[in-house]
Amino acid sequence: MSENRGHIPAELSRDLSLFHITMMGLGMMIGAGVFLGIGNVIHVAGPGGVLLTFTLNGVIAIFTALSYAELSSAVPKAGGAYNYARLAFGRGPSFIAGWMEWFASSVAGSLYSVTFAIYVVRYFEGLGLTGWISSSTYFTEKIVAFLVAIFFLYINYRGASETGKVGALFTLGQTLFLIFIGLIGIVVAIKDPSRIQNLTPYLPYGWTKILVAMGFTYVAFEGYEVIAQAGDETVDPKRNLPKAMLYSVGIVTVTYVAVAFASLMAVKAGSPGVEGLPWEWIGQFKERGFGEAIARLMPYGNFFLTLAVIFASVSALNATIYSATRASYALGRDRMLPKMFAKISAKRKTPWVAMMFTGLIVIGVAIFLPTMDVASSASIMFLLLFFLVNISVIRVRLNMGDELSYGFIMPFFPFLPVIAIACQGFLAVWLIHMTKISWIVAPACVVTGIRTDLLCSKSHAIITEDEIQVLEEEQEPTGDQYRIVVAVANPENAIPMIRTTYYLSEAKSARVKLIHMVTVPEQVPLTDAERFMMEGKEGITEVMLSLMLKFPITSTIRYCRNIARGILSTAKEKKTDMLIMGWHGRPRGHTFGLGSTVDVILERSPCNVVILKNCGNRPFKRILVPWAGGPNGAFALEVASIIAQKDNSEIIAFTVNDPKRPVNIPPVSDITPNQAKVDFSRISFKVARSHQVTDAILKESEAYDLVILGSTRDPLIRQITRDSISNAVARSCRKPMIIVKASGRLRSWIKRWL
Amino acid sequence: MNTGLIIGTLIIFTGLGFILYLIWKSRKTIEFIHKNELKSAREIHKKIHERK
Repeated sequence: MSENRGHIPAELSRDLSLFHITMMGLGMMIGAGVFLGIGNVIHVAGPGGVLLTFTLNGVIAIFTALSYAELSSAVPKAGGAYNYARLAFGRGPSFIAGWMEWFASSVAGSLYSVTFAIYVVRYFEGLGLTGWISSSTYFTEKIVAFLVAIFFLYINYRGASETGKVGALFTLGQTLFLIFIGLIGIVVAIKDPSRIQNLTPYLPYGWTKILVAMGFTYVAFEGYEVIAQAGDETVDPKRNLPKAMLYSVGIVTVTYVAVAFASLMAVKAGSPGVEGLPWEWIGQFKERGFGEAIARLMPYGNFFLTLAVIFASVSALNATIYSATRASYALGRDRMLPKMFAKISAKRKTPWVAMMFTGLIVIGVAIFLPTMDVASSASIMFLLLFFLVNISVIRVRLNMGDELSYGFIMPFFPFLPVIAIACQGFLAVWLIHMTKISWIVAPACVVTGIRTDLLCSKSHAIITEDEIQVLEEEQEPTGDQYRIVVAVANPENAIPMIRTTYYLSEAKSARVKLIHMVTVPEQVPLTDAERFMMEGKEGITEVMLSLMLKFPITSTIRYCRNIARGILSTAKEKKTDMLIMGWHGRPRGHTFGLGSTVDVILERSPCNVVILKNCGNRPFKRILVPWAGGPNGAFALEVASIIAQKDNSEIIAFTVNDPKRPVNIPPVSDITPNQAKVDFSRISFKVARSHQVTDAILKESEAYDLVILGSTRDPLIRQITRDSISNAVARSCRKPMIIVKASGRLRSWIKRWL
Repeated sequence: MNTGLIIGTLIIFTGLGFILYLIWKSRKTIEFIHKNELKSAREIHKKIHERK
């Protein structure tokens, strides 16, 4: 705090509208790639292949755009994929994500400055106007690349508004040009329907060639990254960021397909100079194929194409410099890179140090390195980034969905990101096969990032609000014992849990870990977390005094803004077999069925869960277990058997059959010893017929000392949207109650990983 | 008629249609969340389910 005394920190200014950021995204996508790509794709995959390639890439791109849209609406700040990886995976992986983002965007910027230089120099060379710069075309190109990079670094330094406005102007120009070409192609096809024959044979080399073409044109769809970087500078970011991402992917996909169609319609079979089939004639020119086709579609086609490539290169260069600068700024902001990267110009409100270093990479690579080879490695890094973002969207929604404030959530979750993960993984591997040098450059960049993280970031990184901190922890003995974690909130909550914890620990010969999650009010800084530890410490001491003579006990005190996430993270980290916690029995509000902590624990725990409500430390003589089959019911009977053995009590397995909707409930005897260790000798059965299952269970429970209830097995989305019978019973039952949930091996493994 | 052409055209129109459908649906969700001032994913799910 002291270093900031008397100094008002400068912030990035919010100047960018939905139009600006949509154009920035489009600008990054419609780089030179599509102009050079169309001829190549026709050569590799044929006339149908080019149309299918752009459509299918658009579909994969929209899946990833949805992930970006959801995450950027929840975390609308500069950093993009780095921010999302930090939430999902923590510091180390997020640094690598930010590092790759910075490097890949900077190198893409070098590629665009070189592309601009090549086209400009060739055009002016044709007019004989470049001799005064240098006699060598190569050096002239390098000088022009350097100058254009400097110009756009200056535009970026002038501010986000200038960057957005200048970029929007160039992007609008090139997009309108492409849409114009697409429309001409459609008009030509309508006027001369014989040209539809240009599409046959539709796939001359088969369907597999489409995958090859998708690999090297996917780069033309990666514009959402720059939109995500604009989170700090966009007006109403929670609404505008997701919209801009989706609109830009929609516009480019339709435009690309229309332009590819127009280039196929541009050439008439048998016209002078056209030998063979029109698509073969276009394909033979490869990169120049699009230009040759457009030259036949309209007068001055080559001139307009050169102009379009120049527009495309500068708008993409502008967007990539912006994106790379914000990625390194975000790393500096969180002290993952030296603090100076986060310096913001007081006058221009732009991160000038991050921009300077980005400029050095852009210019350095453009002048000294084989840009095309390094750029192919950047493509792989982009794909890996998207791969990471698609995993992040699943992890963040599952682990932090209740904490974040979303402006958008994607439809068909989690199927779309899973499909995108599979497709992008495949395309990334495929790109490695296509460009050998990327095998060296991409891993080298990642390794350099890991080294930088170890040397610099790890010790200096700022702890973010959402992280879990260990405030106090006792070392655990090693061994393969059954592990029970008991979550203790305060002495009042701890004492009633002692008896049941004792029974379960003894039955399982378990090692017990007591955990207290410190809750610190939002307005209190994290550094003051220790002030709020005392109550939990007292609770832990109470439990320890009662159990430590019988079982090996250790304790940990942690801080987290969200208790449920903190407990779940500890359960995963400690490879827990069973989690025991108390519940006050009074859910607040209508968002949660049982409460903000209990609901989340029951939905996402990677281990068995036992939740105690008003259990106290008295013996239970009659135990009711509502039975409807399933692993949770079996586990409920196992817990009942453990308690019954100690208290010498009877267990009633109670089944309610709804005559309107009869369900085939399996008999208790179907439970195998592998599933649960049930003492069948203590169990008797009772069946009731009622339309109101909840009411029947509640009425029956009046005659018992304890109710042990298996939690619902509904899928997560259904648990959230519909109230289950077990939740309704748990809320209304006035008797002491234990709610249990068993974790199957596969589910447990998936939940631990996610 | 060329079978590849028919299947290909079908895929293209389905793909483009699906993209436009996702954009339309997402736009509706964004406005719905904004209008109802919803925050957490759980709240949004519940409200969307209630609307249905």
